[in-house]
Amino acid sequence: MRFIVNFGSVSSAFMVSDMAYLLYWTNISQRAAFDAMEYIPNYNKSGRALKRLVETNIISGHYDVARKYISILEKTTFYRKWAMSMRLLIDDPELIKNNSFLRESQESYADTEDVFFI
Amino acid sequence: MLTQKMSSLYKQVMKQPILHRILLLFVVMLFLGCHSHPTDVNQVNQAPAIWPDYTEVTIPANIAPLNFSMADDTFETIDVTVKGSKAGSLHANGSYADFDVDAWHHLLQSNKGGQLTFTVCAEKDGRWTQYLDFQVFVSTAEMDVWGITYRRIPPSYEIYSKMGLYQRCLSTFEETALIENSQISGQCINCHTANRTNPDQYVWHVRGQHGATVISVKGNEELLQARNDGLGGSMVYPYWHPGGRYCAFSTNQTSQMFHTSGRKRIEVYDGASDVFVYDTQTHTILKDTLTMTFLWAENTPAFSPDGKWLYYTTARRQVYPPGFDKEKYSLCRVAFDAETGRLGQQVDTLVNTVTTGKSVTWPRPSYDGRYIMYTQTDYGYFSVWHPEADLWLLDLETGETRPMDEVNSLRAESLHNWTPNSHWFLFTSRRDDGLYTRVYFSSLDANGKATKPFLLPQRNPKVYYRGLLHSYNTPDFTSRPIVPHAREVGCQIENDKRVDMRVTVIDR
Repeated sequence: MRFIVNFGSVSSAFMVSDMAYLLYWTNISQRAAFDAMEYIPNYNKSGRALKRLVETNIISGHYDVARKYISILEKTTFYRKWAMSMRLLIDDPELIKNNSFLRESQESYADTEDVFFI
Repeated sequence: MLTQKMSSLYKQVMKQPILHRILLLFVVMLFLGCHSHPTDVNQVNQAPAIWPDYTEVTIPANIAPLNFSMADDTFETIDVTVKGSKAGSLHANGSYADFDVDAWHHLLQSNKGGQLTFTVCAEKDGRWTQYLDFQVFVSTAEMDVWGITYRRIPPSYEIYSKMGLYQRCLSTFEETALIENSQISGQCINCHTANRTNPDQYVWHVRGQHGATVISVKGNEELLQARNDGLGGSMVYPYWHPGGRYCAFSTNQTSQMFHTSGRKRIEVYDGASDVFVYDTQTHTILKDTLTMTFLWAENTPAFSPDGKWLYYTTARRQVYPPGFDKEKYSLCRVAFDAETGRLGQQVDTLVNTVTTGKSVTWPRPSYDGRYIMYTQTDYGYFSVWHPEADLWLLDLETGETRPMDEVNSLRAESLHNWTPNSHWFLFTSRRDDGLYTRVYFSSLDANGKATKPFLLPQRNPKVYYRGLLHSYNTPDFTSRPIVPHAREVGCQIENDKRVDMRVTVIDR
């Protein structure tokens, strides 16, 4: 089975990331968020993309990567509080169960068969 | 409590004349600029949790200061005293241990063959704790290079933003850009590969609209076509013949697929790949059907240090995606005649996937001819995306091969190479966070056992590496600094003039 993902701009990549995220297609959402950030023409990074990367890495269990992005967002004005709340989840993964969307996404990720998309 | 004190202090200050207030403000700023020093220290019977973990590592005398922080961010101040077993001492105090570069080198030179003892005190919530001392061993063996070169690139999927080729002095923290893709219309830049750390002889690629293979022989730089119809693809993974005339390449039809779940994110694979030799004197691609077979994928070539053997990996080609975990590479070698540029008649298999059930990639012979270090994965060859990827060491004297447990982690290790004296080696690892590759160094002792690896030092490593959204890619040593000439080579790349190459085929 293959999912074909193509996006040609920052905005379309973010749109794909948002849709896939809500459909529990975590890795597709993650790839789109990463590529959205890399599409930014002046080489800046994106708080919105990093936020999504924190979420998807928490879902897939890559807590150390999520922690890296959180430490960057904790230095920002507008994402700081949110990043600190995510750090609490990583420091005590049991708390993820209290977040219904992340919990369901984690369960879905664990149940998903590992097929490839291109 | 603290707020009340501050409020009371503020009221008292505001009662003072304006000049006194300014003076007080100045004094307060000076006070805030200073860090506290250990008082009422509580000694604990445990090693300090520092980052990077430099405890008990072995270093060369010419390495940059091993600055570090407490791993726990809640520590406010760290106070470190370093004492040499032979002579000298150093002290650092601040939010992280920041050693003076000159004083550090003086200390290391005075303690070659000895050890440095680090005494760490750290302050949290106004209370100081002193931990057990740890040692760092200063090797008598020189790291006989000036620095390293590498590509820095985001570990992205298909889209990349800023990337570049860089060099870094290993005695200081100085990094210089050799070329960045912002200087060549944002095109992709591939690995910089020197001949045995010689900065006058190198090759790297540019992909995209103005693609080229940039090759320098004895300082004379040429731009080759990025794609060659006679070859049927691009020149990809290179390795120089020690004589400098020849360079072996693979040519790869590379693709990637993305995992929908599990530990892995990406699988990079080749639809097809072959190995060939390029003659820089005659601008000739020397194809040989021995290493360009249809049903097998030959890859990752490397010459032996005496130039008489060409090592490469080969796997039976699979259909992707269903056969993705069945493509497993063996390590082979074939004789090479530098007089004629021809390969020998017989291929030897050194590490056979039929026996191991695993896959070999990136063979890198030590320059003294004793070892081949390679990466082993469960399948495939693009090891940075394989958490199970580990370094292995093949002893060419005994034929025995073993995992390098001294340096391996649970995350991907790969992309390694040696110093000219074959005592030190570097490799990349994702052990820190699982995604961003970092450069580590280690050395082999007389028994072939590796010392505990240490991370490439930075001025403030925690801040630097946390904020760095790039991976280190294909690092290698360089004996001397490269003189950057990005503007000239950028202009050459964009004008699309390329050296024509001939192709000869030996059909067996």
